[in-house]
Amino acid sequence: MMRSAILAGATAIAVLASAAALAQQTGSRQTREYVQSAGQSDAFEKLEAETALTQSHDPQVQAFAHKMLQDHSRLSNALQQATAKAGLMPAPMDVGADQAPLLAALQSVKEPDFDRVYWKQQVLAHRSALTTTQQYVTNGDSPAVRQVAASALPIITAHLAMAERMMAKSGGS
Amino acid sequence: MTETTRRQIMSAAATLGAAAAMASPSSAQDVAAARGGKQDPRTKYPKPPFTVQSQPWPGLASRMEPRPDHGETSYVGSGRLRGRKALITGGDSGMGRAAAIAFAREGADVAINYLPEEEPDAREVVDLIRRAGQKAAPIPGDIRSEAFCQQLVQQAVSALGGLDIVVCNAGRQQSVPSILDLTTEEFDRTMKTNLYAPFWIIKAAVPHLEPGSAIIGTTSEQAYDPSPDLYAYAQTKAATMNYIKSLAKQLGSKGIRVNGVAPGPIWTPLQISGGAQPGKVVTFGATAPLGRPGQPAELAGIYVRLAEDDGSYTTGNIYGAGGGQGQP
Repeated sequence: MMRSAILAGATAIAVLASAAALAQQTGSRQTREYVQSAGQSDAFEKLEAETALTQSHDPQVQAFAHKMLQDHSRLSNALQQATAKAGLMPAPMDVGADQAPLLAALQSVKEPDFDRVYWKQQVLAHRSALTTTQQYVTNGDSPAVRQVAASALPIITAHLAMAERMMAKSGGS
Repeated sequence: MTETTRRQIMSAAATLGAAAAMASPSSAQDVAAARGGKQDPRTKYPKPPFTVQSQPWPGLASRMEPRPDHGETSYVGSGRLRGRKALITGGDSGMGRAAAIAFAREGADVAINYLPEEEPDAREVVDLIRRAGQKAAPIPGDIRSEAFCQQLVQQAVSALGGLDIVVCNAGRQQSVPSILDLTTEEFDRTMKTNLYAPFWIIKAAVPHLEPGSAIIGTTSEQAYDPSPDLYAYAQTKAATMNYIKSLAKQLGSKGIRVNGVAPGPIWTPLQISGGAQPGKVVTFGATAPLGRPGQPAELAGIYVRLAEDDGSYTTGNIYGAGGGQGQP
């Protein structure tokens, strides 16, 4: 009696474990790479925004940072919902290794340099996100994720335009 | 200086340089003095963002936007490698090309190896070597074969009449964010190109290398601080950094020096033919403190330094050009 209960328990655990392992591998490489990239990009934007809110007194930087925090929180929620629905691994919430040095650089700089660096980084990060998102919208093979990418596209495009305007105004190039 | 102005100047300089070279092949180099002075390293070369672009492996430098600068119009030699004979793998583009141009302008005869698909780029390099008044030996072929590597060295030795500089520079780099997607075939390809080939080439070359000869391997900042999506490539660069040191110890008593070059992010066809994610290409070099990727021309002088006789006490060392990211 005891033995079969233990066996049943062990089987249940094995099934759960292999389900988790399978979830890691469901979805094409392309979809998994996009989800990772988008998740890390949102995390980066939120952390950059929080840094800006703490380290900058410029009202335009503050306003932009608030918007980034709002928009990228919404975007990352939408992504999480889509991955859950599609049975994929949830998107990561960490900053990727490619962008971590940018964040570190921003955090080690004070005003007036801070604002200039923030705008430059925001232009670059949004360009990168735009490229990745555009490619997935065009070629992606998960309908749920593609839908989220498609709705993110105009938002990222608008962010990029704003950041470019602000960078030009702040005298950057 | 704005991006457009810089490009206009560079293309004007290229035209002038080409015109000068055509008018009098080697005398343009003899007469021109080294530039000296200093430029702002932040704005000296193109900064990101770059246009979205990709080419099938291995990719051509001549089709990149903007074209990489390998020193075609800027490198001025002064006889530092007069009489030397060099073999460079991956000599069609990237650092290998920059080294080939610089070596020729310093007075060396140069054999370059490259993949057959890279012929258009290689032809430009051969032309530049000859305009510098030196012998050029193009030897296309895939170095993933031991037999070809042995042939490559044989052909280089007979074309140049000897050999005293070996640059193992050709590399395979593919960005694969998850190990679960890394095929054995891709892993093997990376190992064969980046580690087996240098082993086979150096082994075939050593019997020909007299005391005073130099071996140079291209490693990378990836050897010290690897990116998560370059698991296969980065470990080969760490191994390269290591083989340079053990080989230097082994060959010191033969008077053969062995050193390495560790670049940071450099604008080469590797990056746009699968070596980096598209989002990274667009912002390539952004994380470097200098705010841009390096150009191959900015490493040419290092290869010259490690090959020349003046560098006679440097062996078992790695020289870097990393843009400020901290390694080596």
